[in-house]
Amino acid sequence: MAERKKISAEQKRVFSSIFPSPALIHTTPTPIATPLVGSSEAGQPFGGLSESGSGSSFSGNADVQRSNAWSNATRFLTLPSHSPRVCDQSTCREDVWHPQKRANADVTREIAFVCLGDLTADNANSGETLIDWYSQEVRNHFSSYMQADLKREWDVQIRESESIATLTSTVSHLRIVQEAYLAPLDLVKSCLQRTQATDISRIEQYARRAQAKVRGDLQTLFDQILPTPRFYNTLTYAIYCAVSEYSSDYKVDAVQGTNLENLGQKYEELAEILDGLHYAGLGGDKAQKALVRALDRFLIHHIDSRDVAVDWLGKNPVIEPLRKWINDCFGPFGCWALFKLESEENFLDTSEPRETQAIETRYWQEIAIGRLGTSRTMVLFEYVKRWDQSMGAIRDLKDYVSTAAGRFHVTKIFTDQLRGRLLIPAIATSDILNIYISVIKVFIELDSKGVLLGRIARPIRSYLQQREDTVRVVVESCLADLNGDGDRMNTANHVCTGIVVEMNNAVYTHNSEDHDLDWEDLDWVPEPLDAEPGYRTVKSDDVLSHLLTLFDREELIKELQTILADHLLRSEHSEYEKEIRLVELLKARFGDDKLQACEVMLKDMQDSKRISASINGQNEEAFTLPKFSTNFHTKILSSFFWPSLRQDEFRAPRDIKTLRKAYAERFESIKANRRLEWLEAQGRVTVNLEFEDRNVTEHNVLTYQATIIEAFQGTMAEVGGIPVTRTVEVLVDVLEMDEPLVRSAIMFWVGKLVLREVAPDTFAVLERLDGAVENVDVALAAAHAAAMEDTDMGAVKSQQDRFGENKEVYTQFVTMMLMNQGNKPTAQIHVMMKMMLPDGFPFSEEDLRDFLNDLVDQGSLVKAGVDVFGIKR
Amino acid sequence: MNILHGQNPATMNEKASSPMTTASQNANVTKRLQSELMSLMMASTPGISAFPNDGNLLNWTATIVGPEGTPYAGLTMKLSFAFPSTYPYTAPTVLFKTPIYHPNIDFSGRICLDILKDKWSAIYNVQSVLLSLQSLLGEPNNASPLNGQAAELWDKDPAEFKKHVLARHRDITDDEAGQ
Repeated sequence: MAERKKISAEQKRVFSSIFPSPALIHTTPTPIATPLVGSSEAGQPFGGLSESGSGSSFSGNADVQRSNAWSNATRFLTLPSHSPRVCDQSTCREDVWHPQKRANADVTREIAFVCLGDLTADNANSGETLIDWYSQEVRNHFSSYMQADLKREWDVQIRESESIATLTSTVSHLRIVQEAYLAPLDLVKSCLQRTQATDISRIEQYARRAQAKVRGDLQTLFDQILPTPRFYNTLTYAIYCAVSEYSSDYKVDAVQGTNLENLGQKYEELAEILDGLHYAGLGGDKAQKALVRALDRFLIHHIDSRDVAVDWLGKNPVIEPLRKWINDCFGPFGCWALFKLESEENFLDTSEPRETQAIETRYWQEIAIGRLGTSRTMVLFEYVKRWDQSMGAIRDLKDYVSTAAGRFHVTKIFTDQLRGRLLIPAIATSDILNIYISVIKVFIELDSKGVLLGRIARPIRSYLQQREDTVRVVVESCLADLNGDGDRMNTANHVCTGIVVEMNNAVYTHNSEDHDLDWEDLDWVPEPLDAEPGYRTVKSDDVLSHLLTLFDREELIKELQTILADHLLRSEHSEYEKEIRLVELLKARFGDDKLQACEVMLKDMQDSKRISASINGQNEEAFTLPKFSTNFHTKILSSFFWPSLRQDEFRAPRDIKTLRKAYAERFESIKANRRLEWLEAQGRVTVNLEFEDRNVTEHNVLTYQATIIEAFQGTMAEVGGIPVTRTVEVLVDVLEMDEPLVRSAIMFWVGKLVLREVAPDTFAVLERLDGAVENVDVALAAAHAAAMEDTDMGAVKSQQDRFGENKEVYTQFVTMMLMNQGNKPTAQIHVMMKMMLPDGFPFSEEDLRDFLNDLVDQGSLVKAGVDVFGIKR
Repeated sequence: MNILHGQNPATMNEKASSPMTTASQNANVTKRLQSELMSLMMASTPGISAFPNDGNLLNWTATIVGPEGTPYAGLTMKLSFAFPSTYPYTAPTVLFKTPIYHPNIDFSGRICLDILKDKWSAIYNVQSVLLSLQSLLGEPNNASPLNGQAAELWDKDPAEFKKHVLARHRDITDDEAGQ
């Protein structure tokens, strides 16, 4: 046996010289039956104790004594070969797990001797100490008897309902194990104390070091054994449950003051788990991470919950309640749990937590505001859409955007939302403008300095500038009426209601060019830190200025003139209140001189009203003609200041001509040296139609429409019992009216159930409505068609008309260009036309291409390549 | 209309002094040329046309179609117009880009015509210059030829003259014309 042992010891020595590991040189206590006292040579291991180097310097006697003592001590300290948990506590603890109870004087002496030896040999590499040996023993014991138990517990999926129970059992298990393993150390300590060989402080130090060593080893073991993710996830879940329960308790009884003690009582199980973890040395990073994860998850849950939902009715921010919740409920809980896990204070009961708690709570508040901000930002677009019911949600964001990160986040996310949801071709310009107005209001509310707004608005502005109809929509909206009193523009969906509302409460603000140069301004403040180069201070709610600065000033005024002209000509209100208001408003912004033409237009209206009144008043009997009412009013335009107007030529009804002549004479008598030039296309007529079974009165009928219906005049009796019938061709000839106009007018009257098509291109008066039900459908369709067409028939010349007018010039121009400069692609021709023509070329390249292709079809040009045109030679 | 003797046309444009500053002059010249272009276009006189070169209103290319009843009938001739910044107080420099055989035009395309020289007046414009040149094709001034042979042949042997005209004529490409 000695032989075998020697060999194995030899092998071990060789092995451990390469892999020095305490596990391999650990020995079981030397058996009493084979005492080998004094038989060892220098350098030989004794009983596996590797006494290399310094070991040999011991005197033989001391060596023998030490070996003997070592043997006895280790034998005594050897742990029983079963788990401390499996045996019945009452019996086991007595003897096996409480070595003090059975320690006699001899053992005490031996242990003390070995320990003293360890103590005195204070150089670090004096070989294995008793404590090293004991901790190794503990490790071995743990892995042989305990590990499997623990592992089994965590090998299976933990059900949610069982998670707390499992955690509790594991933690108590760990506690028992740890207590059992640490008990012998107390014995060692008391042994040392009894000998009184050295001073108390050294003993204390020694004991503490021993305990720390064993605890540390155990902690490592626990850490290795426990399946980390599962264990900590379960812990997270347990904490989450507790905090959510606590939060709902808080809600139920918000008045109840809560403090740490209450918490401890209430959540005994959790407290026990946390305490246990701390005791087992597992309250470190991983457990704290689990705690924080649980808290964070709950915070997210809470922010998405009903408690922090947007206050749509009260429009109040929920930030304050949230802060209070963190302060009174969430924060204290977090701190309590953290202290349980973390600090010694947990055991020592100091009052320091209060202060730390305040800091922690503030952190949590910041995090909560961040989370709330993120959550609100995610649906910010919806909130903007539903401004101002969403006031509460926007106010919630206010705290968030006061941080740099928050501002950045909001800007980025919202810009993405805009790009994805608003700035796409499918959205009508008026809708974009409406949203833009909301955006302006929302972001002014968020950041009154307007820096955020500047950033957010840039993509919207540049997108709106690209849209061709933006100017039109804005100006028309400025002139539109909200209450819908028969104004035709109201029905059109290209009016932006937001602008209409804004117009109604617009204020006259003077456009001061540069705030920074205004030395008198006592309210001057420097620009915000993160202001952008183009930043300008904005008046708090001046939405209109945002919209009006969208455009080039000249372009806006040009468009305004066109639309104003159209509006004035259509308008029946004699006051022109809105129009004057708009012009005045723009005058305040742009300066008087820019809006001269508009002013003249307005003045024309007022003048014509006066002149018309005086002409009618002076000589009323001159206008009493049977077929028409005496209401003959004119609008006299100063043609120089008006945009070019539609001028369809056709033969006006004779009655009208007579009226006009009389009127013109009157006019010339008032205004000498002035001549009236009638614009056939511009008039409005009230038409009274008398049928056999009904009377139809139509207001605001356009002149060409009236002219057409006049051509159908005559009663059935007069024309031999059949309804008056006309063909399109005849009408075109007789009235000298363009065919499209004739057709459009006929459509109009078909829509009004006045005419109907009896044969292709032949229309007859519908004298009786009975049995004409089938006509209703046709009429509706025609009415629809007429309405559609109506948009093209504005008082001011349309683009198409202008192209047609200038066709000659353009043809000549293109021919000359190509003749002298050779073949050219469309793009180049386009550029040249834009540059060279005195009035410019207000059409797109696409229009030009169509035009050029037409010329090719007519034979005056040839195609000289893809999109390249040349002259025919 | 008198045709001057063979003076170098290049030296002729330099006598006019500039009464205005260059900037406003350029604006004026551009404006004037733009309106000339428009009037030329509206008038649409058969056989003559002109158009500014790409991106430079001061250089134009013009086209004259040879009038019927002259040796140049049916031929297309390209000309270049270079307008000085003092235009219209100074005459434009006009050259034939298309090679042409004519008593008053030399082989470099230089033209001997009084209204382009000392008889220039601000009332003339591109259109009138082109009309003058068109008529010059049918009625050369043989008293002061730049091309003596042509002047001689014009009177003596119209058939031979025509042969020379056709031999010399060559349709040039657009690139050449633009130079």
